[in-house]
Amino acid sequence: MKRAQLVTGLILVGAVIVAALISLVWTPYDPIQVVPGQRLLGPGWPHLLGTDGFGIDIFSRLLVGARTTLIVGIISVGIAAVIGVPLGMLAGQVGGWLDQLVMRVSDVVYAFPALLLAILLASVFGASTLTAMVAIGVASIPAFARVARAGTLQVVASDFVLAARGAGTSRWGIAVRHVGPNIAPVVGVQASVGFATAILAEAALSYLGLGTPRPTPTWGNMLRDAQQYLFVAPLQAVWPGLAIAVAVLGFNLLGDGLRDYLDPRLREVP
Amino acid sequence: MGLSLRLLRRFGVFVASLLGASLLIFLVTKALPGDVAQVLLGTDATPEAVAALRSQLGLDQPLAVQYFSWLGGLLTGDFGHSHLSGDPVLSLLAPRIAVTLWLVGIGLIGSILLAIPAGMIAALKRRSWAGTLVSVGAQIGIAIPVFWGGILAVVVFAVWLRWLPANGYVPLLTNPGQWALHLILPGLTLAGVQAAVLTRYVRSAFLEVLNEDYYRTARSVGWTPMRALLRHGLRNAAISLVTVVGLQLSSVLVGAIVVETVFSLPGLGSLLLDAVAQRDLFVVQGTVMFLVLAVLTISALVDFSYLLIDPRQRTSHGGAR
Repeated sequence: MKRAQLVTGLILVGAVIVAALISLVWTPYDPIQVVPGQRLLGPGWPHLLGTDGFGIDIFSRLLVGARTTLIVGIISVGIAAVIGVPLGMLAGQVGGWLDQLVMRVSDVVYAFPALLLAILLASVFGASTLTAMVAIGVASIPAFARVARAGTLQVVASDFVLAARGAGTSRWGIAVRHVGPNIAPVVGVQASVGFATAILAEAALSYLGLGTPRPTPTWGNMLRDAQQYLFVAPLQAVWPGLAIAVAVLGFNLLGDGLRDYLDPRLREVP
Repeated sequence: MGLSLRLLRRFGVFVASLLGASLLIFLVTKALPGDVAQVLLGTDATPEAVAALRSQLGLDQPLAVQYFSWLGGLLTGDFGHSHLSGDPVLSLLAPRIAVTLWLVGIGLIGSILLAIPAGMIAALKRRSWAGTLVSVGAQIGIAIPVFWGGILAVVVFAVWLRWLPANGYVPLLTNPGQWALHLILPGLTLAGVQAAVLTRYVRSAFLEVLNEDYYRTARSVGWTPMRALLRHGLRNAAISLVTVVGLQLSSVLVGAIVVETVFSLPGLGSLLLDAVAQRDLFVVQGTVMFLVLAVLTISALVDFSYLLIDPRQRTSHGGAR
């Protein structure tokens, strides 16, 4: 059952990555160019999933959408990890008032809904992929800081760190040699789950018109377009949503599966 | 730590979070590229007009002074004014709050009503197909974006079956029947998606109960699993669920904002998005502050009630973070 979770996750995530890679070299049709003569075609041949309100092949846009999704995921999770993990390690290793400060600030950011942060950024800087990535990334920092801090506290309390400290290893040396490698697995799990959250958030922002704008295809803005034709071409609104669900499910399963695979102590009692 | 000290500490966290959030909102707004007054008036404004607006908005004051005067305004209920219409932000919010509140209420209550039985089945029947089905369903539900759920609901119930309206809103007092009809799809969409998340928490809360002595005792005197769970489990699981629901509140509110867009409901979400589209910065600032204030206040109240209802929190050693 647990292994099945990991394998299903890997397959779904793999499918999204393959779609994104294929879109780099090939798409059946141009994913941007408007074709006036063939608007709103149903699924069939040669347009596998039909065409959208601009006459653009939906399958091609889905493939390119996978790319946008992964890029936003990588950058926003990257922002969160690069800032959150060192902060969490610092809080865990130094402790005291610094720990209090980092955790309280991260509580404030955590309580601030990501969507509202994105709305605020979009109204100040204009809606773009960048503002969406920054908003999602900043909102995800607390999750990474907490995971890194909890892991650090555990490692720092262990005997091998005590021994290293006794042997005169500096705090920095302990962080690099012992804490880093030991918390890497839990950070990896958080990255996978964080990726799922980022995909959902990016899709919502693009759908609301606060993320990547047309004509760049994203699954979110494809749904935004499709909604205008719900009574004429309802199937159009199915494909991008399905793609989002597959990607989010994949990363969630991968994260859950990895957690159980890496740490048998976390396995649920059957 | 005694109870009153813990309550006091939680109140301190609440005040600090409010200050932190307001500072964040203020600073992001201040990061606007270029001069706010210039942006508001457009590029063809005369320098005199820009200067006049700057001093009217207090933009010629130091940042700290601007922040504290904004904060002081918030304390007296002044959330700023729209620069387009000149209306106070609160008067723009007032007629729309009801819509969002209805949605949040239906979403929250509906998700609890769906998630508790689902989570109980997932925990009790975890070794049979029924429990697995619920767990898999919840896992899939979590992956469904709330707006796609709404769009699918429109396709099925408004486009194909034609049972319910696809969008729009009728106030309760105008026509209660129409009001209910227009809220069914958005409310259930929100409740369904939230229920998926909540089900996992309910499941693990009940799994814990299954390992407790009181549950084993109840079973050993001949109670059925269902009766033991309902009589003892629900009350014990409720304590941990109160905190989860408190945390959920923020995501229900965000979900409501998104769902309002799907169904064209005139709530706070559509006010915010319209304001973003028109670059009406002060309306965005005031509305975001209002929503954050609401989220923080309610999560503080949930924590207070948690401290008060759980007797274990009153001892000197229980439940510290």
